[in-house]
Amino acid sequence: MGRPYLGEFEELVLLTVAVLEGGAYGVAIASELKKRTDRIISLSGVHIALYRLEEKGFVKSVLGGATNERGGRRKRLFNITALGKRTLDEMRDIRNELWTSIPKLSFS
Amino acid sequence: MTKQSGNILPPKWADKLLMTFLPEDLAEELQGDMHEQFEVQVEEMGLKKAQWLYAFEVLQFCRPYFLKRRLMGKTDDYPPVKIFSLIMISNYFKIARRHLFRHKTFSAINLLGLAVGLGVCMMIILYVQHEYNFDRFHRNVERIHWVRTKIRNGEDSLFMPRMSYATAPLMQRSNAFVESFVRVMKGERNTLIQKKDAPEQKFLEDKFMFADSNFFSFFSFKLLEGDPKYVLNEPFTMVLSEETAEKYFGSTANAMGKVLQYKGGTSFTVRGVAEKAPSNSSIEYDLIASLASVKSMEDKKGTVKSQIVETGPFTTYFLLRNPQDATKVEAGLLQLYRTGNPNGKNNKNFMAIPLSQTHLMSNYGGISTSKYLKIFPFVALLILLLSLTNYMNLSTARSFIRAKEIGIRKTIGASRNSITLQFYIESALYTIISFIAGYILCLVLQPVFFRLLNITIDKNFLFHPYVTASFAGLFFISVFLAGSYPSLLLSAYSPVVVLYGKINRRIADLSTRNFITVFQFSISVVLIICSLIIGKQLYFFKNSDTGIKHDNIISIPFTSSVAKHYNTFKRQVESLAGVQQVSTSQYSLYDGYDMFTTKTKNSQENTSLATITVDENYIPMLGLQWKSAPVNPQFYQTPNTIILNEAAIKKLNLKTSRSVYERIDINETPHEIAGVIKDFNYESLHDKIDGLCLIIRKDTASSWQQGGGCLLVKTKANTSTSELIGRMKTIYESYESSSPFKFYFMDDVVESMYKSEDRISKIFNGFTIVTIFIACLGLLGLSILSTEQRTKEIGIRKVLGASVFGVVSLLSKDFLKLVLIAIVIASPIAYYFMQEWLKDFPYRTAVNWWIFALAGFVSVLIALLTVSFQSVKAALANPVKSLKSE
Repeated sequence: MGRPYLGEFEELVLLTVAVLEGGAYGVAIASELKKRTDRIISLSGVHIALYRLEEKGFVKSVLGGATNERGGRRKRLFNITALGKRTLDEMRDIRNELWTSIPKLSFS
Repeated sequence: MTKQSGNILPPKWADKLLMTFLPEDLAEELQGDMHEQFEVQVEEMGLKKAQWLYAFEVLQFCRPYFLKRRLMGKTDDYPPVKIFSLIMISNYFKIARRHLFRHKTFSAINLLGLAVGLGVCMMIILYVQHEYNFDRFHRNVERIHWVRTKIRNGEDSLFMPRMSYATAPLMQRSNAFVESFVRVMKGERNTLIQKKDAPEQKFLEDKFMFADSNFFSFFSFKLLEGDPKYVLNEPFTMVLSEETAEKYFGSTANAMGKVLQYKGGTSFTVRGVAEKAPSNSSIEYDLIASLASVKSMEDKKGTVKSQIVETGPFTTYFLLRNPQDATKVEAGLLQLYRTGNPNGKNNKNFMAIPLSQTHLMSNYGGISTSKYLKIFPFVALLILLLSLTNYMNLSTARSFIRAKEIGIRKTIGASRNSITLQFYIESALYTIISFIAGYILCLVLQPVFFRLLNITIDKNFLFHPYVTASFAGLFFISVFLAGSYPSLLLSAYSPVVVLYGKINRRIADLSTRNFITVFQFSISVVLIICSLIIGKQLYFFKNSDTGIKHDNIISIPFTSSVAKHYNTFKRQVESLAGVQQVSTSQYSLYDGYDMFTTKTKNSQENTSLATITVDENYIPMLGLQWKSAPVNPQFYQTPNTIILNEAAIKKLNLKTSRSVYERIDINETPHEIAGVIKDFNYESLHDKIDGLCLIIRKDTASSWQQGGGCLLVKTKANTSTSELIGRMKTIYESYESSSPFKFYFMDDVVESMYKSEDRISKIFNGFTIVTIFIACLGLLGLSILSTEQRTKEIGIRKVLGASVFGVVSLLSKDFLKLVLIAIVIASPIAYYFMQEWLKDFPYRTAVNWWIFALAGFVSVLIALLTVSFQSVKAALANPVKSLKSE
């Protein structure tokens, strides 16, 4: 495969970045994930995933302006890149294909 | 509002911790996120729980990903800077070398201080390791135990280091945990040995002993010739040490099968040659004869008679199956002792001591080893600290020279870490040089040091793994410490401040530097005071009035065979020119006494008295003073008369005035007290005067036939003693041929009693000189710097009319202040330590105020001399020179 490896948690984070559409930063992503999954999400884990995604080119980031919140500290806002979107698409396609090729689909 | 928001902040310590491992470029955003989440959590579940969660979250941030990113100093904006770049490291070496050679005096001072400190440390490490590794070269050292007996006598206890012949075999037979044993019996000092085929050559041997046949398989001494299993199997065989074999027969191979004669009688065949015992062995030997010979030797056969467990002449070692069985040995011996002596007194205990500890428990040659082992590592640590702080002090003091370099390096892109590395490499380089110099110094000085301590250390002990490991440890510790402070301090310089030229010349933290100087001088002053007090105590020992006049007295021990001709012997000595008076006693002065049990008056309690049998001349010749002189001056004509000292009178609950004609039992025989003498020190001043009883015998040959005695000869002043001794030797040798003539000057004997203090005193003087030397080097370095920095100031002052004295005092004032503070700090510390040391002595010198004053004066003088070395030069310099150059 030509594209970099994408871990399961990284995929979740990447999807959440896409969901949050421009408003994605550490805390927002973590609380979104907490809401949607039943996992214990640690901020540090989310951040490492984000930085790794950025290194791989799936997301890009920009430092937001300083506000009065959080003691005037800036946030880093993440956006999904074209490569990231394409990778998510690809992965969904592969999954769908695989799902449909399971011989007898039973939902017992 | 602000107050409220202050309340809901996450715990500060957690925040601080967070900042220590977050990469700098990410810190802001991450911390922001953390705080935001915290605020949410406070609302959701309250402050307490949120704070816990926050702390927990902080810990989770401590991950390799962030740590790596932080350490690599990786940022998004710059390419990563590698700290360990080969080019930069070679550059660091180059710069370090250039600095070393550019500032030659300064570097020399710096390196010399460190080298001396390290050298002294190495010597002490060598000594301490040598002492702690005593006897550890034996294969089974953990399982070998030595047995001694403790005999309680009232309050006192007495240790007997040797057991009877039967003890060990009885023990092995009845106890399965004893695997094997070795018995060793030492021969007398000065045992006469002759070669069978060349008897005209006489050798006197001190390290002659008899040992069981398994000696060489039990211990790990190596045999050069002969089989360890068989060398000592047969009677009348013997093993020589390598040195001894060479002394007698020229070579080890030559010695095999030769015959040596013991005390002009028994012959022994040499069956083996052993390597010399290592210097850290508590068992030393020159000649080892088989124990099987003892049974058939006229003078020794009595030693093997004992059939029961008791004390005797054999040093006994057991090899146990399990090292934990030592307590079983003690119990087993006690049980066997009781079966053997059903009526014996119940005052004995047996102790099994691991071989590795026997050395530390004994007190060889008057050195209290364990005392030194406590003091020395401490001194080593102090000296190491001293030389390291000296190094740090001098290198940071020089920092303004390096400030610009650091500024430029940082502007070009050096990170703080790389500057730290640079200075570490530099310190490492300097430390390596000093370490090598220190090692050479240690090699050169160690013979002197060990001679002072009265020990020898084998050459190859220098390469003992523990010593090598300790030296390596010392090396890494010194590199680490020497580099730490300078690199931390220098790497913190901000390039803007430094390059702007605003650097304060005294940027290198003046208070730290002053602190270090005070510290160094405090240690020096403590040691000066200690040396002075130890010296004073030594002087006190040697010169205080002990109640005995021992000047011009020569003591000559004689054997029982001389005693047979005692009357003529004595008359001949008496008639020699130069002899003033002669007296005889059972033991020489300070050489020992018997302990006899007696009972106190009225209460009839058991107590013991030191007892010496002497003749009637003893008291007047030694100048002992009467407290209550005998009524009849011819008292010694009556048998069983005794003289007591005051302490004995007190001990026996008698009254001085009414004690004469009292009768007491000595050795279960009634004796009559004829008089009382004033207390005098019949032992060294280390011991308090205890009860002493002098049994006065009429001076006849029969008194000394048992075991011989000792002739005390008082010579007239201004006689040639060497000539006199020669004549006495001729007289002595006409009565005795097997035991050599020996003589001691009483003054020398007194000197030698204080050998231990003499040694401590010399060693402390040495340490004091080393610390003063290092402290002075530091001071010298600092004064060079401060005068260099103030060259212009001095120039201007001189132009304006300052005198040389004014300038010198200006430059010295600061340093003197520090030294004065050091004296104030050091005095109570030294006072405390010396009080502790003096506590052990019953007779001690006073600690006077003038000692402290003298120490203070000396240290001020030394400091002043050191500083003036530089300040006078600066003050005399022509101001034109210093002001012209810009």
